[in-house]
Amino acid sequence: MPLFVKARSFLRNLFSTRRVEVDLDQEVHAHLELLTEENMRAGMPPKEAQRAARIELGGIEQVKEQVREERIGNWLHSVISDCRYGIRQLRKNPSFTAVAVMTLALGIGANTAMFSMVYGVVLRPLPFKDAGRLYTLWERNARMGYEQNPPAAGNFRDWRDHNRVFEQMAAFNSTQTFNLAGNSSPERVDGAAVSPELFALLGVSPLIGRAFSSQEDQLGQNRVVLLSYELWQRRFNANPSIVGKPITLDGSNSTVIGVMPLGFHFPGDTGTVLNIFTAPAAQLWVPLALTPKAWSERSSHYLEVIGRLKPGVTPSQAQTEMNSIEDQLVKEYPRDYIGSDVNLVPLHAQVVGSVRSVLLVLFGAVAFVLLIGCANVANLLLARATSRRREVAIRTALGASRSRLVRQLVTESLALAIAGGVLGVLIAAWGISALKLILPDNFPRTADIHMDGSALLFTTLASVATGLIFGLAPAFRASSTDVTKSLKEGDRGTEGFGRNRLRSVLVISQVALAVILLIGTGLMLHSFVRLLQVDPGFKPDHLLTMEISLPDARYPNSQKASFFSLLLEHLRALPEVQSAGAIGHLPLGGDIESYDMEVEGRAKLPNEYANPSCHVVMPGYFEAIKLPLVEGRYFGMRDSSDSPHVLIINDVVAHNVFPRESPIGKRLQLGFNGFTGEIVGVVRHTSHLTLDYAPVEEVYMPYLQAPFWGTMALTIRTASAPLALSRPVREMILALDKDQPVSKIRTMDDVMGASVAALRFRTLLLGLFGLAALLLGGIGIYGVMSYSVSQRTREFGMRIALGADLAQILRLVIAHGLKLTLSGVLIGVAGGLALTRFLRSLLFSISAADPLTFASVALLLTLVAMVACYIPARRATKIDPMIALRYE
Amino acid sequence: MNSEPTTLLQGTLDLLILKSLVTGEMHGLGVSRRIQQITGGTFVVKPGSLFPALHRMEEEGWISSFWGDSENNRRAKYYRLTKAGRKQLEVETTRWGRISWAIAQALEAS
Repeated sequence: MPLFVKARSFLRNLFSTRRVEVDLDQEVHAHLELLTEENMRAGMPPKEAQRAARIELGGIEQVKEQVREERIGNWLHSVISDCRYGIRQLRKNPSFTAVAVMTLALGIGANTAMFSMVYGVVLRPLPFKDAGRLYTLWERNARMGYEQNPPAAGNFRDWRDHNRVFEQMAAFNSTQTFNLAGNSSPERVDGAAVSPELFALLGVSPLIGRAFSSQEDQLGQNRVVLLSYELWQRRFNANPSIVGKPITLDGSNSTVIGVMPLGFHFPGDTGTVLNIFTAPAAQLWVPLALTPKAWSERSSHYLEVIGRLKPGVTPSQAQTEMNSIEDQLVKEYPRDYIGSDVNLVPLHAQVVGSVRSVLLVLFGAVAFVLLIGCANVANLLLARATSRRREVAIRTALGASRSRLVRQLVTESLALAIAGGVLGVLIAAWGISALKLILPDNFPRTADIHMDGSALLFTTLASVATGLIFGLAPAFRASSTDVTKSLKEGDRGTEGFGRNRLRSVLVISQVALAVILLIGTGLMLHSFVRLLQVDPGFKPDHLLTMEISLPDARYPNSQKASFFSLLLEHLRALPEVQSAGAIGHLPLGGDIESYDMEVEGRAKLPNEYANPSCHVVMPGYFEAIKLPLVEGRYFGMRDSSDSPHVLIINDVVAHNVFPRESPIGKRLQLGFNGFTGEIVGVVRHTSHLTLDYAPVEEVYMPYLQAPFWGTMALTIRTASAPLALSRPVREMILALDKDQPVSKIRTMDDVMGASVAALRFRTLLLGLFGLAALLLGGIGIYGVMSYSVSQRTREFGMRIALGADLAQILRLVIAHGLKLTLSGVLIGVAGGLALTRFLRSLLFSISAADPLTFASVALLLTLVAMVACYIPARRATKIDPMIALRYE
Repeated sequence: MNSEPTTLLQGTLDLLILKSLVTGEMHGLGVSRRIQQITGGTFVVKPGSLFPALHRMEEEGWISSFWGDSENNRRAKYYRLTKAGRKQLEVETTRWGRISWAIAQALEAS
């Protein structure tokens, strides 16, 4: 078959449209004349002959249209002309177009922003070599409720040396911070101490310089450091010759051996352990070098472990192998606190596990908003279709087939949706930056959230899908117009039952979707309020906190205590300071350290009671945070390093360990450097981990007697605004030691705020989506009711003329609106019951089927619907019967 | 007149048009009348079917068109078979022969 003939026709159809059309027109007219002539030859009078010819032809335009539909490339041609026509139509109706495009732009934009988040955080593979084979390993103790306890150093060594399932295994301590001193001002930098093989295990090598060698985890050879790209840029001016030079880290020299690539911050972005602890993004790395004693430790749990599975080994094989090693350990060290088995978590699940469900719920919610928006636009289109019936009828009369009309109307919808999509991309770009502002600090992979090719692809698909969703039904409705009737009735005409039903279906589904979404919002909001109402046990107002970390190199343990004693003494002299103290880990700061505990002279405690979280505090701490004393006394300056060791326990320990006796005077022995002391007081429990965590056992030791670590958080109760004091306090610290950095200067209210940030984030977003749904739903009801009132103008006029009073008219309209709304509410409540169970893990102290929430949402939507109906109902009562009856 | 263009089998119209053009070039009305004549009035091809078919076949390259004068000196668009068209006519004829034979067999079978 001559292909070039086809190609030539295609091009001619596409580009010489006018010539092709003129040719066709002349051909059809010539045909008509030939027919007329034939008829006249058969003896008809000229008029008759012409009429008969026209009848036989069957309509010039119809024939032409049929020819057009057969042409090669007709689809492309008609798409182009449909687009042109559609855009012209949209421009003729700027207000309709603006409302529709804005609705769609907001919906598509919000969806694109959420998609970028889901894609960046959940779907995009982790930036490590063959990341699917990476697992984090934890000690699990089902009996004590621990799912992810970091293993003790000795246990890790046995895991690493005895297993045959992992290619490599590395440990890291992610909680390290370093004092970086040098030419510019001293600062605190987050970092990690890591096994030398960690980088090879992840498949990441330094940008410049080298990674740690296998000997550099030996004490004495470990004074080497790797810098993050960002730290190198910021602090060292991106100077490559820094490699090989010494820097001052925690008061002594370390040699920089390399710089890691941009964006590498492991163990930052490795997710949340136990929903509590999130490793900060590392700015520098040092080798994990432990003393032989530390390596033999079995009860002190602080190392995190990552392993690369050997090819061909399944996770369950690995699980079996690791559990058998752990069993061996438990048998070998019965007195140590060792997990009952090993918990293997895929690295990806570890990183995104806690936020995966949150993001999917939010993504679902925002999709609902878009669907509700679609329903609104579909309603607008339906209303417009009614006023365009005449146009549709004329086009049908001129030979447009139904499919041709549907195509034309859908093209118009697609043009709307694509305009919405283009604007939506801008809104999404803005929305993503806004989202990043409200993301909680410990949200994983925030750097991976941005607009990219996949987000644009999503927007395109979403726009097309949206256009079809809101465009198809109205297009089919509009194209099924009865030609004769429409032409006779003109533009106004009453519309059929079917179209009203479609409208009702749209409004009902809109209300149902809004109800489901609002129920989710309501549950989340309730959780949030309840979380804020949890009594943390202390008074967070008027509290200034900041962290000071004294490096071992310059401060031997004895001097650490005297530094803080001196500092607190100076602080208390400030007139604005009411009381001041310090603690190792701030309450609600997200950190916890647990050690084993025994009552001296008694049998070993049951495991679940024998692992309190331990704190060191300076005198004045309890007074500063106003933690009430239950029994005994607080610490004082008399509890110094050379006086008898003392302890304070919380009421949970008192209840668990000393249920029927006073704990005062009893002696406890702790795994915390073997600290042993006498209980002198009992305080109330605090929410030390997070507000939604059940109270745990806590034991406090005086820092003066146990100055085993250098990092302390000051707690200063002030008479006035706490942050105003941060400057004098800082100056006071620098006066004591000019190289001593201060970090995390915050009020206690901020610390509490940060601890609820995750819930606040999802509550805020769901709240926004819920509000949008409520608004769009209200607008939808309003639109349909106004339309219905204008359609029924004549009926209402008649009723008024026949003596119906205004209240009756009002009732009539509102009853109609309420019927639609209540159907939607019912479906929505049923849908809510089915869907809210996906929220269960995100809720706090509220049932996913909380009747109060369901009822208030139903009521709220009904009220909004009443308001939305009231305005058109008022309009109905103002109808002048005289005008209405004349109204065609 | 009994006209049943809608019941024409797919491809049958093409065959009839090709066949009617074998004797020489013809305008649309001519094709229509010729088909009516050679089918003994069984098929009357209406312009709504005829023109789309003619244009499609022209795009396929089976027929070509030119403007000429009719017997009464009216301008009309004429169609003639191309080489490809003659070949297509053979193909269609064979195909049609096969179909009608098969249908006849089927109907005669008891």
